[in-house]
Amino acid sequence: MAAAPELHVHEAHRESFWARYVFSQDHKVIGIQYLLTSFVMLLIGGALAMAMRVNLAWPQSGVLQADQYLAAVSMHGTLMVFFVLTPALLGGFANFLVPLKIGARDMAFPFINMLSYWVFLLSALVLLASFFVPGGPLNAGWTAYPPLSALPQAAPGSGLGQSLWLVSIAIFCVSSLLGSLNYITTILVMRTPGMTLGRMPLTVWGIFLAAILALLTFPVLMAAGILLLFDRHAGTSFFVPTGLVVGGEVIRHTGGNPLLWQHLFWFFGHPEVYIVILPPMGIVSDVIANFARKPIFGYPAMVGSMVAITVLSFLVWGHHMFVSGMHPLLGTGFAITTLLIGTPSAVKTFNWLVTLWRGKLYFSTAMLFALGFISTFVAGGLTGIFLGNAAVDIPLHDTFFVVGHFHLVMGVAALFGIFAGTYFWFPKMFGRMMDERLGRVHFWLSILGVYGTFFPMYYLGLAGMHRRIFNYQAFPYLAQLQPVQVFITLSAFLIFLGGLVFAYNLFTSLANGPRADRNPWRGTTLEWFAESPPPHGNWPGEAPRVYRGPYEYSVPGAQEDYLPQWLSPVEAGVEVQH
Amino acid sequence: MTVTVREVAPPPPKVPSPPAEGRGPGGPPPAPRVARRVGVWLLVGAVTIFFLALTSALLARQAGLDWGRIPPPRVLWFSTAAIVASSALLEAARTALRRDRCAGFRRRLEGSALLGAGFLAAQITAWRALAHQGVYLVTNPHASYFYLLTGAHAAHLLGGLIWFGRLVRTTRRGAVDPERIADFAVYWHFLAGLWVYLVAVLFL
Repeated sequence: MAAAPELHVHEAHRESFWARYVFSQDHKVIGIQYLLTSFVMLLIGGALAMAMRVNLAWPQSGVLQADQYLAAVSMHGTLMVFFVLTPALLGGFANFLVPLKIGARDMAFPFINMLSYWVFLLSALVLLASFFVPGGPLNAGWTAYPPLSALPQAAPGSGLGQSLWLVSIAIFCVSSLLGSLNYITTILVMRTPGMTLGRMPLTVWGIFLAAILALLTFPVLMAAGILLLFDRHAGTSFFVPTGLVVGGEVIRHTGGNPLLWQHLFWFFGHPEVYIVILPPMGIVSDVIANFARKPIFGYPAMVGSMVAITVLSFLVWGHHMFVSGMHPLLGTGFAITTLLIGTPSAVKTFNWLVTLWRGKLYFSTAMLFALGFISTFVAGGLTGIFLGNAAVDIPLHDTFFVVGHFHLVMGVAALFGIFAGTYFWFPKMFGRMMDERLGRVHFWLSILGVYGTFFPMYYLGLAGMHRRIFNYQAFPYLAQLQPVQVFITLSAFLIFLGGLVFAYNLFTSLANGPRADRNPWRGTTLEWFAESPPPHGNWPGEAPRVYRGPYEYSVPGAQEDYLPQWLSPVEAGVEVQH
Repeated sequence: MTVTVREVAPPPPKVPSPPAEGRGPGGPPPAPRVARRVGVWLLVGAVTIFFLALTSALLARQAGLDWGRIPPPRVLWFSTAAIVASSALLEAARTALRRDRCAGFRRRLEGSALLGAGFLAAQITAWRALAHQGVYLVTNPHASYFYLLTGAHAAHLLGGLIWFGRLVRTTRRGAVDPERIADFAVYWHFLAGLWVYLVAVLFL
């Protein structure tokens, strides 16, 4: 193919191995680096979950000691939220897809983009280092509530492990800022002619809104983390109250307020939930429209509901603190905003279902995971209506009911979004197809395992099972629930087994998968106009222009059953009004 | 090299586009210029949220009985004047640039940078003065928040000074890009405004 004079992508762009694959400024390579790092972290976080599950099913097995159990709980949460879901979506897919989907040749600031990955990797290494320090990793949970997190003598993991956690999270905040600054700027100023905001694929909308949330909430976590570091190492009393006695010793801090940490943390923490769910909502929309061969139902409502979720997500953080002591009127306010945010979520679910209605469904692995996303999002989201009510939350708080709820609605759903995206865009990333048969095995193991794991947790929670308890055998009314714990653990093994199948599929397909052409799924958006994998600069010659919306499937009168965004009306020979 | 500003600072359309930063030959072309401005505003937004979080923590704590009140170190009024003057001088420099008064532009730009450095020096003096009076980080919550907020602001200002230094160096070489100065001005004025806000929150 002849390249236009201004860009000799193939001929002139020779780079060394290091510049091309390691210290690359190509958004696609950086995206893949993020994604693969997240998968490694997923393996570690998953292994920790398995260890906890063995301990809960067979408490006498002695797999974990009490403090190791708390460390496992804390590191599992931290790894999954900060080092799997966030970087895979707002790092992996955001980097790989944003320029390709909006018709840009790269990010607005490629050097800053590269920096964001290496800063992220540094934060991951600092966190993992806490496994190897005296006392082990933090014990205070991924929410790191003081005073447990503020006083080095409070628990074995409250020493160096907790400090490393704080430093790691602070570094992560910097990486997140560098990333989201890039995504927002790129989407605002680098769209190709014709790519109006109203023609952007929903994946790009999800990433755009998630990046705005990240830009506006990670600095709050950073501020809270710095205050906590000062409390730990400089003797200030931002969070540590007066008169605490730890190990028979009176603490010399005075007057701090642990609730302040909870407010700051959850002001970040709740939007964080939407940071990891908005991009999958977009990915799932793209995948479902493609494999139902139908335009997404109600595109403006889909965008509008994502914007509504983004705005509302700033106003719901108090629902994490109903039992922390709160004026009942304030609690009612947070309950109302929490229930309100269910409305746009329901609009989205309705639109996905109507998109599927009478579509020409093809159950590829990506489609199966997209449907799995909707399923678990609903199964977890509905119990959110219970927990959003202060009166219902108070007895259920810190029970397994909550664990079942958030794992299904944001943990599993977001992970299923990531898997759907991986199966869908793997051909674009590596120029090879993944094995669909192994993919289906992965999906069915996952969906059975997930429901077997998290559905019984609702029951356990209603029966009073505590959330972070090492030895529930000490309480007879909990000890009798052990058979349920065994069932859950066996189900959790299925999820992990599915993950191993996925890892095997990933590596064998990388090496031996059948070659993918440009557009294996007959997609309509601009990434499918590029080669698989696209070269540095994405499109040789001129960048594509955009002539229509992103979901023109099953167009009456079209030569094929779809009209891609890049096809001019003349080339298409047909035009539909939108 | 004797290159006057007039020769190298043409109106925007004539400005040669900056080289493709960090991209090897044949790599993608650089982002449009407006990207930098958008990026700076987003940075300002994130830093604003960071300080809003810290100052809302301060306002919550201020109501406590143990707040304790430290008197503002006198040098603080000098540093406040310095940072406001630095901001004003930067604007004056940009006006001079628009009117093609090259010597005035350079003098004002460098004056503005010096005042910025002066601000930082004054902050260090303020910390030392307080410590001399026996007011340390842990003396009382007011002191804790004073050191924390002024320290965080100084860290952001230090970053700004490094940026300013690079800007002054490139103008000395004769390469004046009004757009890049405008990008920087957004951040620099923000830091001045932020400082006035912090003084108000800490001492009013």
